[in-house]
Amino acid sequence: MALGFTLVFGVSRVLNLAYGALYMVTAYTVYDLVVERGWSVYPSAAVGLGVCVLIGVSVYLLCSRWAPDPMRFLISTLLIALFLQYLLSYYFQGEVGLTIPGLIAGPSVLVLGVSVSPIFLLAGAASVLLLALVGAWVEWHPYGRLLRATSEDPEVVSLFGIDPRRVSLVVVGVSSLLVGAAAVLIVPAEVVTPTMWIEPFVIAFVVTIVGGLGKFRWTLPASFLVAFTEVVVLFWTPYAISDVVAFLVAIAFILVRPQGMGGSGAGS
Amino acid sequence: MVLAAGELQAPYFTLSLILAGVYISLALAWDFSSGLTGYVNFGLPFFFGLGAFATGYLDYHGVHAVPELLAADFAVGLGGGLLFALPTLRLRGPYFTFLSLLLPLIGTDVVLAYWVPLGLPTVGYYNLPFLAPTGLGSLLIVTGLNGLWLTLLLWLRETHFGLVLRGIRDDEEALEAQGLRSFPYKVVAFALSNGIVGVAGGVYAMTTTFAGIDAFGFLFLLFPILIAILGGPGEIVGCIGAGFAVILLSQYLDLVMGPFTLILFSGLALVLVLFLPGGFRGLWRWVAS
Repeated sequence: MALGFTLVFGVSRVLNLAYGALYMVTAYTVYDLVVERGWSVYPSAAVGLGVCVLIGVSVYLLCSRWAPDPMRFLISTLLIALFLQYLLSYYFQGEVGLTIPGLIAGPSVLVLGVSVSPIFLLAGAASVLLLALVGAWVEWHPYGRLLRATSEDPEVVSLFGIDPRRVSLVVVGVSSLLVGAAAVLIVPAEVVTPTMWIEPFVIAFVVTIVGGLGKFRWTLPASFLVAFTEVVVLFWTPYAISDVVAFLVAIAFILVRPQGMGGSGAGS
Repeated sequence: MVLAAGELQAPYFTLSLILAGVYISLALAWDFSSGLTGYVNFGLPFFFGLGAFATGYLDYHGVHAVPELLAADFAVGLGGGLLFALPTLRLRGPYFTFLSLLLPLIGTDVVLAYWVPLGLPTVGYYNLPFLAPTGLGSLLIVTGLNGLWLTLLLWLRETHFGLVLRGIRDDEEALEAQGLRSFPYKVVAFALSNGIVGVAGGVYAMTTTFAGIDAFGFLFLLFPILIAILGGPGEIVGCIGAGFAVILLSQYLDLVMGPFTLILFSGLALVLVLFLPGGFRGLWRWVAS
């Protein structure tokens, strides 16, 4: 999820708050198909990914066309996220403790002495694979180089006759796919709720700040840094204050190293 | 949205007007800081909750006089706004906005995390003092406060301070190229607006006689933004009419449509932001032209 957010934020430089809501929409889509309609998991996941990409691209097209200035874009994407939250809350009203099945089932496995659920094993392996694939695409594929060029300087890219908005559109599609994949992989370990979109989105943005704007290579190290910091703090405090930890990590980086680990000129 | 007062002090319509007054305060504050500077503040619910809990905390510890409680709410909101704005407004871009979005979540987390260790029986403060002995009195106080904020903010908008804030929205880099540091102006604007939000939180707590984690809810972001946009971003005075229209309509629709009201209003706010960004004033100008 952080990788997708880094991609889209690095290229478009605009905060899309509806990005987190895609996570929620995918989870509810899969739940509806599997639990309510009796579909099997894999086709439901595929449809969930499709819905996620469709909504993600539609939101981007709508807001970039009708709310081009950053302030209105921000507000409109937040309103879309809230609208989706209230809509799903209304549609599934009264239903609590919703869960979706994982893509694989089975007993927990011992990894280095720790019992790990197959859901987390699959999520970890798939995350590494997706990171490698997207990293290779960004690094070696011609379109990936175009993406990096657009994130560095969209005006120069447009001088070569390439529309940066088309590049942004492709990136939005890819990042929507990534957030949908995150939902399909990890939501089976959680409970599906209308407010589930906020926390993963928060973590994704904090990772983007820590890694640096547009610094895709630093997404993985930044993710580990944020995750370990959170785990260490929560180990020593008995309370669920993960949002406070994320906030403090973001503040610390803004104060000490605003360009992030990757060393780019993030903000001014 | 329907006030869950421990004791209904006044008829429902009067309570709705008081609630409208609370949201108008929030919209005035948001419009002054975010509408004028272009730096979108999503942390309104946090400072609103902070004001409500400050009221509850002080009342719990023996402070019951309403003026003292409201003054404390302003100080808490102002201080909290300063603490937040100082590190986050150093950078341009969406960092401030994003971090402000975190604040309501932090408010909820911290209250839920530390309530038990404090040994308090419930997540919130109950039986808070009323704003005034009667509902009409409360309405007059809320109206008076909004009159005060409106006068202050309109005056500030027309001074050099307001001019700089508008310059920040139009072109912050050009402003700084002229040798003017935007940072102190932004910090003061946000601190002042969050002080107003803190007072609104206290007023809400003393109207419902309860301060709880619902005060950190996104409703206290959605409606002020809707009101500010409907009234015209940066116009400030437009918040008054828009506030009454939105809140009274929402109170009525809540009785008729129940939870579907939130879907309707979030959709309405979205349509306004996308297609009518100038609000009623923009629509009027378009029609007049």
